Amino acid sequence: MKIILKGDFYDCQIIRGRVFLWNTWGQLFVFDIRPIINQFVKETKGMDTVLEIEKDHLKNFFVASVNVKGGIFPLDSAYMDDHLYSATESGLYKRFIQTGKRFFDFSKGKAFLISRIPFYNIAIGDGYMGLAGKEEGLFELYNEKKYRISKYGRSATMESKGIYSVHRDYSSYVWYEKRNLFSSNDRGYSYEYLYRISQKSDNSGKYLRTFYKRVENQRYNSPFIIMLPSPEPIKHVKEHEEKDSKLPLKEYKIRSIAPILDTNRTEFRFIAKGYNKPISIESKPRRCFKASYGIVVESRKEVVIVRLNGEVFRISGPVTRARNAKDSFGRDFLIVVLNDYVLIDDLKNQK
Amino acid sequence: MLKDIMAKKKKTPRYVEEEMEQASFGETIQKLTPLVASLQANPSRQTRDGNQEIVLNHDVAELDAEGHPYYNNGVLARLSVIETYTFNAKHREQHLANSGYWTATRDMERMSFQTCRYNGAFAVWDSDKHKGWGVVIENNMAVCLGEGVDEYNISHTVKICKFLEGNPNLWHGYPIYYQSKKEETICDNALSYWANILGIIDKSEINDIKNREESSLS
Repeated sequence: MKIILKGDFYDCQIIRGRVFLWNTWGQLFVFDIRPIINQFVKETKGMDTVLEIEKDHLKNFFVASVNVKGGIFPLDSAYMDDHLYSATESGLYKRFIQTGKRFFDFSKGKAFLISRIPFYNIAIGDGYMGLAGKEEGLFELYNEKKYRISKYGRSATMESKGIYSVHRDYSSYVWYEKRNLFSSNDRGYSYEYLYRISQKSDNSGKYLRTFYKRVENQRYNSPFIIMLPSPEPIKHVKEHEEKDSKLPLKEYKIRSIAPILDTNRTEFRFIAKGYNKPISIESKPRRCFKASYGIVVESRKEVVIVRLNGEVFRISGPVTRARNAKDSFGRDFLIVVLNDYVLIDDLKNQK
Repeated sequence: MLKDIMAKKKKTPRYVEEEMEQASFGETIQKLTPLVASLQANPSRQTRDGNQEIVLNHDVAELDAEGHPYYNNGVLARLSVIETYTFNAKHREQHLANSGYWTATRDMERMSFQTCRYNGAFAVWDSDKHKGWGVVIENNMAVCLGEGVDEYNISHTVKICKFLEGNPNLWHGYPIYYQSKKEETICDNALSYWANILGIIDKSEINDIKNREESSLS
């Protein structure tokens, strides 16, 4: 199903059926468009059609609005444990969201978490939040109560309440894969794989110590961006395989990790098991992420989606933001914020 | 006086109707940018250290704790401020190797400061309200102001300048290469002003500028 929300917005999140839309004036609007979707599905009887919601019609489903503190344009935002986190130029903020109620109360609770560290990328993984602060380093947010410095590996130091500094190396992207923490940067073609170990101390049993072990730090000397999808068996590999590929696959380990991105290149190479294909993008890539429908590369001029079976399709821009969201059944769908509208698509029948 | 202001700032409880009125997608939020009022520029004068400076007598909008202009019954609250702007010789004739310098005229420099200072293109943090970013527009396009240096001290032609209040009420500015990793990111107020009011950058370019990537202002 494809939904188009008309209007000039900067960012979009969908949380438990509510649409959170940031405009370019620093305001956050919350809409509940579930009634209109249910009615539309009943009318079309599940046919694959496009639902267009005009700006004036969207106002009828208005729930709440709030002035976002700390800055007008959020660098990134995420939802975890009933809180909406917003990373801005002046730090990290959070808001409690009561999705059970009709209206939200944004005024309660401590909103401010950490000051002066702009987090460019946020990732959520099973109760943990990874925060990439570029020059400031890599951080992680979790709600374990106590902390004791470990003697082993790379210890985490608490920067603010619940926010731990993993390391101070340059880090621009962060993601999780099965509770393992990965980070990469846009300076080279490297990624690191950090393993988090939290243990209760032997004596009291109350205090938790957390340390990070850098398991792997790979560096690729390839002129291309290397995309490593999950090592699921891919059908019809031979049909898409290119014989004149210059990159021998044996040099690279295929791991279950998310993409690596070099923002200085407009060509990247999609690699899977027995699969090696060059893909070009119109402008420099901004960020990328992995979802069930494929790997998404966001750039200013277009969004490129590479499916795990090798299909490539594009959404032309100018693109303000591309995001992945989950519906109530846990299915992934893509959100693309474009100049005049927001596109929400599950990409099931994309050609 | 202070008590009166604080009493007026207390927000009445919001109801759904008020929220609905606010959800007009930015049309009412245009009050974010305070208007320029009674701007007067006196002739410049020479200082002891060889710089030229100009005294600006103007009204500025009174800002609340979050950096937004404060309205009293729909009327913009104003403060009369006398400020001095210095055409710093370090960023002009005797320009330093590791800092930006102006190739634009002094009038353009003063114009960029005025449009920056009196239109809310300033940082929103309480401690950092003493810095801002500016551009000069000609034919709906940002013009080149001078040369800025990157982290390797290589100079580039730039369109953005930065203003600092080095001493209280004493301002100076210089062109910056915003893609340099040494430069701090341009504040949201400036980007909002350029995108929403001036229209010189696209909405999709905001992310790129914040990430120090290429844009129409580079």
